[in-house]
Amino acid sequence: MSANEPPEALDIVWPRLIAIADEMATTMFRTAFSHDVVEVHDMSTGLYDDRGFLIGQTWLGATGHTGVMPVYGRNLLEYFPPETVRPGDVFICNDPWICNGQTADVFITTPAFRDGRLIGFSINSVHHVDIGGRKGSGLSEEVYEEGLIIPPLKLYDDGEPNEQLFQLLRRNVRFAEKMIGDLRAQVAAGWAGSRELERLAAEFGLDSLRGHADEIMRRTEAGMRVGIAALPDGEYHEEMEMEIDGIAEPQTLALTLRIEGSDVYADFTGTSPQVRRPVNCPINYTRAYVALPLKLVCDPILPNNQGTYEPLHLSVPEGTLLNPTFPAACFWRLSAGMLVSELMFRVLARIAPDRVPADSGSMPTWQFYVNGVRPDGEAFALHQHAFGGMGGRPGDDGLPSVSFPYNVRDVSIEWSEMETPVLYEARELIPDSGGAGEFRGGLGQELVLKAYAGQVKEREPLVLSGSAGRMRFPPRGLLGGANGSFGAIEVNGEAIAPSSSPTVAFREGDTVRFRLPGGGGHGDPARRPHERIEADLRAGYVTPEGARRDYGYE
Amino acid sequence: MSGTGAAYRLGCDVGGTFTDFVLYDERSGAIHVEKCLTTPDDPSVGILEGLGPFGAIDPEHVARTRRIAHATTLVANAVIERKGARTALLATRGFRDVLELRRHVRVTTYELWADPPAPLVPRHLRIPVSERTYSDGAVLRPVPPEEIEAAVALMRAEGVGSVAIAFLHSYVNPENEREAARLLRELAPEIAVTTSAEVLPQIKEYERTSTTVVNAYVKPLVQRYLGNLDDGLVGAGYAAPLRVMLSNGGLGSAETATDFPLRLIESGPVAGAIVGRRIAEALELPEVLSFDMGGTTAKACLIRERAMPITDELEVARSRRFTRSSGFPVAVPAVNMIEIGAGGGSIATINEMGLVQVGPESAGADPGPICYGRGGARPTVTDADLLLGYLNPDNFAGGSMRLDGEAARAGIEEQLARPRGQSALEAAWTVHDVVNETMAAAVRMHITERGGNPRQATLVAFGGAGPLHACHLAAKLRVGRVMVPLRAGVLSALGLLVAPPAYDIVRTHKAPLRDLDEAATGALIEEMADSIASLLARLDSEGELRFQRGVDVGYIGQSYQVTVPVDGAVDRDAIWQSFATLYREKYGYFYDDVPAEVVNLRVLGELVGGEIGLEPLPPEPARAAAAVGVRPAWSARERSMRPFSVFDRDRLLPGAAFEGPAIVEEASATTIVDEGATVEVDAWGSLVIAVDLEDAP
Repeated sequence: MSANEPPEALDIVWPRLIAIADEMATTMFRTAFSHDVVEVHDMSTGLYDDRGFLIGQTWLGATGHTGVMPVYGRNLLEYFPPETVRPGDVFICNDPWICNGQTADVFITTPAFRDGRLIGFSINSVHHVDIGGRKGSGLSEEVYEEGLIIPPLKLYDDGEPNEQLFQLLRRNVRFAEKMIGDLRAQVAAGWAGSRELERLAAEFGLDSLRGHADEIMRRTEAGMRVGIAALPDGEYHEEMEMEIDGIAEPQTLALTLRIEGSDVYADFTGTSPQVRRPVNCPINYTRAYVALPLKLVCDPILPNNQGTYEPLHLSVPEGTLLNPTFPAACFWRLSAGMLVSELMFRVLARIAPDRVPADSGSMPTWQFYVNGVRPDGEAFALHQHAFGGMGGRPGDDGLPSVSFPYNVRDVSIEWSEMETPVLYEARELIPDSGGAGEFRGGLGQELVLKAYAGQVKEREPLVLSGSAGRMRFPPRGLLGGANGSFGAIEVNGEAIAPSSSPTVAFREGDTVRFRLPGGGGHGDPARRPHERIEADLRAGYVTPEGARRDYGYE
Repeated sequence: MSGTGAAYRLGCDVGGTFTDFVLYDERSGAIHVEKCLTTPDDPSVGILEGLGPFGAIDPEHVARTRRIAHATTLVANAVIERKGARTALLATRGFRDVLELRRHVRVTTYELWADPPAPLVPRHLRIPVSERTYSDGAVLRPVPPEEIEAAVALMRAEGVGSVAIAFLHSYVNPENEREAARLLRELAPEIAVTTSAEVLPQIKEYERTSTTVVNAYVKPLVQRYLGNLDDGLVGAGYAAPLRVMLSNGGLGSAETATDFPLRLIESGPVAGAIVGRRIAEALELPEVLSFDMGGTTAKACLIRERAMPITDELEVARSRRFTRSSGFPVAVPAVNMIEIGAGGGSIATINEMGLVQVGPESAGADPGPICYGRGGARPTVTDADLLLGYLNPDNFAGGSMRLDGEAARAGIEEQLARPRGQSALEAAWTVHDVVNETMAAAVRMHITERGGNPRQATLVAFGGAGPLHACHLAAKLRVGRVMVPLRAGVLSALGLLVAPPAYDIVRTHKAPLRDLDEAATGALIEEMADSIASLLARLDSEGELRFQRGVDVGYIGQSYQVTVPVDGAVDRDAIWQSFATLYREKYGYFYDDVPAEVVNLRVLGELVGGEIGLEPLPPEPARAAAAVGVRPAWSARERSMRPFSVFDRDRLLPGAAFEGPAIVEEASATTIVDEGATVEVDAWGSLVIAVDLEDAP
């Protein structure tokens, strides 16, 4: 079999590339320390050709990482031209403008060779337990406050670890042994990926992966283009507003989407300028969440790779929330970034309302840290996720409290209580929170937290900081469906001001209540069959008052 | 074959379509196999009928049967088909939706409508109880009896037949669950009760709740079924006690199966792995990859150091059969094996990527592959294997069915070859190669996860299609040795007869290793061993009771642990040393500077010594193997049809040796040996094949 006949070997090679990436991911779930990897799966793995084109990616992992990996390979090669890369090199980088828009996400790259010639790379990215800085504070004004920024550097040079860099990392992060443990797990997975890539090239006698890469990208791009071409040409404009803590006026995210044949042009002119809060979204993350809804609607079956992104043309003015310039704070970039997906869904809903859900309370994810000190002075940090409801879908209700479109997992309540003295009083669906509709929005959830009595140091408050949203602008219904419920955060029953990066201090005896927004309804509530309303009443998804008010059902 | 003093063991495996029976004569070592259709409404009816033919072998076999072992897919099917009891859940107030939230993950990332299965307990039967225990075991609120009374009233009104109780942190302190169960049994003795601390005393509320609910859901059904079966067997004169195959590869009593029916989820599929382990024991092989490929699925299991690998990540009733996280977690110990949607009946199509894809869709036995001539119209692996010359159209399934090669060729030609611009032969090879690659991808992941080394492994192939695909699969996996036991096509039924009675318990006991209370931990382990001993004692079995004690150790903060064996007293330093060795072996590195913790305690008890042995064949003078013919078949190395020598398995005696390319035919399976491979027949009659890995990187 020679490289000149890609279609035949391709039946084996393409699935193999994805299988290798899956294997790297599974190994990392078992060897990483950070809960964000092992429990939450906030990571990704991929294989690249020597030009830095992503050709195989794991099906597992989080969508942010997924969408950024295609750009990252190309970015890296600008810093390390292929002719300078040697076996045994390992590259590290977390620069939010080169990587995933946030300092906590660290990318590790290892090259693969055949007969001394560079043939490709294996790359993996992981959300780290700590990277230094202000521990995810919602008040950061510049990226400098958000921890160590690592430009593209060699973590290993010709097989030798860069001890000085390791020392610098150790001295700058909390829980250093866990952070370094995760890095080592990443390096081990990277080497395993490169080794398998080298074996694959040897097995099929390939001196270069380019022939296969081109065919893989071509077919993937063609699949996306078929889906896009099925949408009518046109230009659509949508805006949405987000509430930002410390800024009186809501800020605007604006999208003009033009579909021309099988190409898509996304222009974010009109988006508000970047802010001195950590909700700015560097362009790589913006791109990821533009592409994701397009893929969900146009081509959910083909694997993700470089080809997926070819039909997409992005234009985001510099210095805005969705393309902030250095040194903008961006730790909670998902607050704005996931709303980009919502904007995309709104446009797609106008074009293909039969294939798109209403607004989802699950955009953005509410991801947060609780930092505190135990009575003996030892610091602890809880990292947790909460999710709102998915919008009603044509033909079906939205899923309740679900990681959509992100697709990560929560940290179990028991595990969390075992590790940190935080007591949960509830993680439960909120009745009537899903927007009424022929297809009801998925319910939001309530998450209630307290300090566990006697296990937190007196006079040291716990500090909760994270991402949130939809507290002032609820998820909208579609085609006559009603809006989902508002998000809210209450401390002892008092709602805090709407915020996309809330920071809340609380003490023993205080109760913090998160109310995650429900999804918007899809279609006229009057068309919802009585059996479904009755089933909702029986389950308690809808209260009798809610049924009367929202559906006129007695 | 019969005679005075004869004693038998009977095995019976109820599958979705067929029920298989195997009768083993303890004195002569003879094995008799029978098959009948499963009677889904009450499988015990089919079983009792299907035993009839054994009367012809020995009219007195009923009285002389000393053991009966039973495997069944009933439990898994009841969950898949939602035929269980109307079930309620008592949950800590504020957390009844944990069951529905499923850790918030979706089934696939890119699909908007790929939903998980609906929870087995609808929300109105998920009843909150105002009780609470914290992670340190402190009871913050006891169970209010009036809430249990109200729950009973609701359950009665709703016709609930079974209830699961799953409260937060019951794995640390089960007091509240026990109290709720006590009240329930008192107030409503007719409702079956399952508590989470009994079923799975382990941390993580979703996984534990899901496991408990599955148990509650199938409990009344299994109770009824095993009751009927036992009555029937007793009525037919069988005096031997009924034993049931558990997911961990051990046999349990009917009582265990009735209390913990979720332990039967993998009852059927584990048989193959048990045979693999038995072969590893008999031949003292350090690593065996058991590979069982049938009509619809293939199963593989890596057995290292003769120990059955165990996983806690079983799932049942997946909405996508081969997609993780799409079913209900059942986190009790089960044999760690992988199931792949790849078998002889797997259908080959051209997928959205323009690639040949094989499976998971299967033509099954009905209509089956095109070449069966029973109405199957879509090309399958069997059709491709026939075209490639690997199957003999006149000698399939012992000559009981003639295969239609022309129809198979036409199907492959039209549906695969022509659209891709290939010849029919090339397309057939692609199908064969792709299904092997699909299996190899899953097996590689399994080997990696288990820290195995393919170069040291022996692939033991069985199942109808296993021996045909084994050598090509082995080459992909870089496994150098393949073994095909005698009667490979029906071998897995033997698993029932060679499995030892066994039970295991895992419970969370979380503590940093350096602070571990050695005495208290040891006492907990012994407590677990005692309860296993009393369970197994009730099995009324000969054999010696042996325990494997272990602790699951990981670095603090990691979610996955390595099981470290504990022999004798619990010793922190010894545990740390073993952890270091095992971790390094599995992942290739180890950190001396990172603290570790114990997460779970694990005890497995087995009654060993009562299994049947695998006897070598009577020695005969070695003879050169003589081919009975030659036919053209596809050589993977030459990429063309080449003459393959054909051997009759029945005429191959121990000591015989030959070289590939060769085809070995027996009634239940065909073995393909490509060029470069050599074959020897060992003392047990197994084909031992050295695969040529020269080209493998």
